[in-house]
Amino acid sequence: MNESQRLRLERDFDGELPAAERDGLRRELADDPEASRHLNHLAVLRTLARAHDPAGRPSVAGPMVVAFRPARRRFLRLAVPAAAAASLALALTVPWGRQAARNPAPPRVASPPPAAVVVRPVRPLSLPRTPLEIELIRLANAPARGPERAARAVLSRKGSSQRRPASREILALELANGSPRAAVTLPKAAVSPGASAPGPIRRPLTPHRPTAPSGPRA
Amino acid sequence: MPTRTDAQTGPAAGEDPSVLDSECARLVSEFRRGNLDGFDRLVALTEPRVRRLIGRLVLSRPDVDDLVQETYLRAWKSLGGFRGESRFSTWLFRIAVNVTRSWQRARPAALPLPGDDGLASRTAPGLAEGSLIDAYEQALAGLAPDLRTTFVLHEAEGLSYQEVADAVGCPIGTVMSRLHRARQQILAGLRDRLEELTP
Repeated sequence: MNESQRLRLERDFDGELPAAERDGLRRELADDPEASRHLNHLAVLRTLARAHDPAGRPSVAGPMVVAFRPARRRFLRLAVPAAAAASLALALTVPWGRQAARNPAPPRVASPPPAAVVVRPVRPLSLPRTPLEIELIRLANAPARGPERAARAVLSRKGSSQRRPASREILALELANGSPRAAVTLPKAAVSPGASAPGPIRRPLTPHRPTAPSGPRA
Repeated sequence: MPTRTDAQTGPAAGEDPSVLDSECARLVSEFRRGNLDGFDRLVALTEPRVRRLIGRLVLSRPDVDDLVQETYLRAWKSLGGFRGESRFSTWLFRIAVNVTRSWQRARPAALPLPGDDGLASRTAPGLAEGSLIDAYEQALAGLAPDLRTTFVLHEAEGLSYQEVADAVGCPIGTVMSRLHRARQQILAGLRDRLEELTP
């Protein structure tokens, strides 16, 4: 079997050889063992080609679904995602609202404004006051002296009635820092006759930053 | 001397090409009249064959899904220009071949590794010759892309010379020569095994 006969034999095997050539070829190769073997090989090759299916194994992700839809109008293309986003937002908001109704949040407390004056925590003043304290308050309320000078006077004064120097320091700091707890009213009994009753300390004191340690608190 | 039989030609078993083509022609005509939903049915009818063809051409399963998707996207865009001069399946195969060609040009040649999923043999049910089909796949992978495309379209998909020429875009003479060369190369790789099978 030559090359030309082989080509025509393959065309005959494919069913593409004209009938006129086919009969002549079959007569020529009727007793050719090589032609018969080649036809057998072609048949096996076709069987292999049909059986070979690399994509036949099912995919891990399952069969692919190609869904084609006609093009939608522009407003639909815009409205559908917007509606989906709104639904999602609503779905996320409603459970929060329900939970908030069941467990109302504590009222918000406004944070205090940043203090311009450093206010040290001090011991609140209490009544009855010592004579020194009464004198201090009287001095603080005197318009001519002022609280700072009063505080200095208290600190520099060494009265026998004040047993604990730390108490004087603390009182002076309260006055200097303008603590609301220092806005007290002197008891009437402590006011000397003839003098006008001192009112509460309302004027804010100038900032005072103690440099010395305040000492032990009583 | 064995002759050509119906069992040796046409697509794989389980599909009647004439019924498939007539149904596709009806759906295409509906599509051209404005029934766009008919394309879903077209995809459902033809996707197994397209997937099988692309798998045989690229021999790389991970890329098959993307190429099938690209094939139908191109078909969707150009179906309005389908004039019905050829069968719909042939027209679709031409798109698939072009998509595969583009993919092969853009992809650098890579040698398959042992155990690579793309070259693992998947024999059809009832075909127990695992080693033979492995050798066949190796021989098929060694073909030039044009030879492989021609061989697969004719031998595996059952397209005639003219249909292969239409799908590939070359003369019939080129189809015949490519088919002959492809057969020679594959048979050379399977010679020893085939001698054991055939007397």
